[in-house]
Amino acid sequence: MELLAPRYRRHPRDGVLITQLVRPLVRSLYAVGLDEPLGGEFGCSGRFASHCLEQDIWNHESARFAIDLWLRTEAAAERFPIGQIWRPISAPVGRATLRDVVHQVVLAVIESLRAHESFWRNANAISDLRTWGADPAVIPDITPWDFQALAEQARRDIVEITPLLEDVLEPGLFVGVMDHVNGAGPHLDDELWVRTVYGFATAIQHGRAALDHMADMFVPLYMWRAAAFMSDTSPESPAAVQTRLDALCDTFLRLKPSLVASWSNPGGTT
Amino acid sequence: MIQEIADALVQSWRNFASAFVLFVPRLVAATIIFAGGFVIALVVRRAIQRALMWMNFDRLTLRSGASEMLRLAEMPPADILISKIVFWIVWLGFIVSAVDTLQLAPFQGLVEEFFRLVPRFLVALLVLSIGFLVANFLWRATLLASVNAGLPGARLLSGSLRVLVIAIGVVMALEQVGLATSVVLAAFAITFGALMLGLAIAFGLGGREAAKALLEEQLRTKRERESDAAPHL
Repeated sequence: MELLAPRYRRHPRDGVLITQLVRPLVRSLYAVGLDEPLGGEFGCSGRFASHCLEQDIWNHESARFAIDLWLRTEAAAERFPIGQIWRPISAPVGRATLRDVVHQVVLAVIESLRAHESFWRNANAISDLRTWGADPAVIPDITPWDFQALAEQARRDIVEITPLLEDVLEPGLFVGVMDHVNGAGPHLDDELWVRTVYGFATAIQHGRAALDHMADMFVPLYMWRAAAFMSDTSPESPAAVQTRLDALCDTFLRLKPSLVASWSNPGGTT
Repeated sequence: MIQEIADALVQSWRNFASAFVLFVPRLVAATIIFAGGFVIALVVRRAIQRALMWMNFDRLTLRSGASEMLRLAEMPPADILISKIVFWIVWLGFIVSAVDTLQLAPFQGLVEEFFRLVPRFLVALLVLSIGFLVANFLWRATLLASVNAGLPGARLLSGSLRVLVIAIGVVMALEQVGLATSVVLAAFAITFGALMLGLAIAFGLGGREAAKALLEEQLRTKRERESDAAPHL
């Protein structure tokens, strides 16, 4: 193994940014069955460390934050063997705000996609990774948080930035998102969410607005999706929620060709 | 007496004939310049339109907000507008040259005037375009920053800033062309000053309590809005 990433036994409703965005995106685009694409814990070989030090990344914004994502995607793109190891989950260090974290993750994802374009465009079937260690098996309880308040905040913000979203999203996608946002409760189905993520990636790639602005515009949409996921899954068992997560990953994979087509074609649609 | 009248008529006819002989070649040359200029201007217009299409200029205008402004003003899209402007500048140049060729006393110096105006006009267009770009960028940045900070009336604030920057751009462009400079500048200064004074008075006197409440509410909401990222990671 050249890179060893952690694997945590989580409640499937925990780590929403991971489960709703980063994990399915990395799995479907890089075709690697990573559980935790983000996180400071990892181990690597000297060869991989030397390879990373030779890359032109250390003066980029990504090196300041979310370097963990870049390390994992770089290993996948350069075909370094990756493995996982069961680790006890620990609370995130520091007290970053959700807006800042989502903003930084968007920037890091885009940096990775741009750096590894030739790889992910052709990567297909997701390969499972070997896992070391003992599976804790017991699913921990989830820490409750107020997703209804997050939904209301997201709704207000999305309504405020409507003219900006209208500019950067395709008309059909924009109307679909606004229909959901103007609905009664927080809801955003998988397909529309994935198309929104790919639509944003394409819009950023084609420079429809400044990268920082695009990341800021994405934040309330993520907040809406996170609240919708929590609302939809609140009465469900962990097994049922896990099935939803697997289905979301399948949707990311199924719609990947639309991203590949539109990434290098300014007139393409997602 | 009759002889004198006849001499005067003959002299007049000779003057007319010599003037006519001098004028006809100029008229023919002016007509050729006029018609040739029209054809050249048409060719330039087509070339500019194709170049703008090739450069995806419509996307740039869409992003800069200029497309929206033109649509509201019921004007054609930016690429067509620019090619039309270029057409008229080129053709007007030829028309002025044609008129100059006729050497008519009232139009002396027209060419110099025209070529003095064209650069100013182009600079004015550039100033206006930059104004649109800056206004749109600031509009986006302000709207997003206000929404992130949870400020009430984010759209009003960012929209006002956009209008203000566009207004400054328009005033600068008009000043560059030299169109009613003093009137435009005075109108802008009076409007802007009155607006700022009005806001200051309203905020300082009329809305002191409201401003205090607003700021307190703002600080409280900001604390509430700063959702912790921990449950999401």
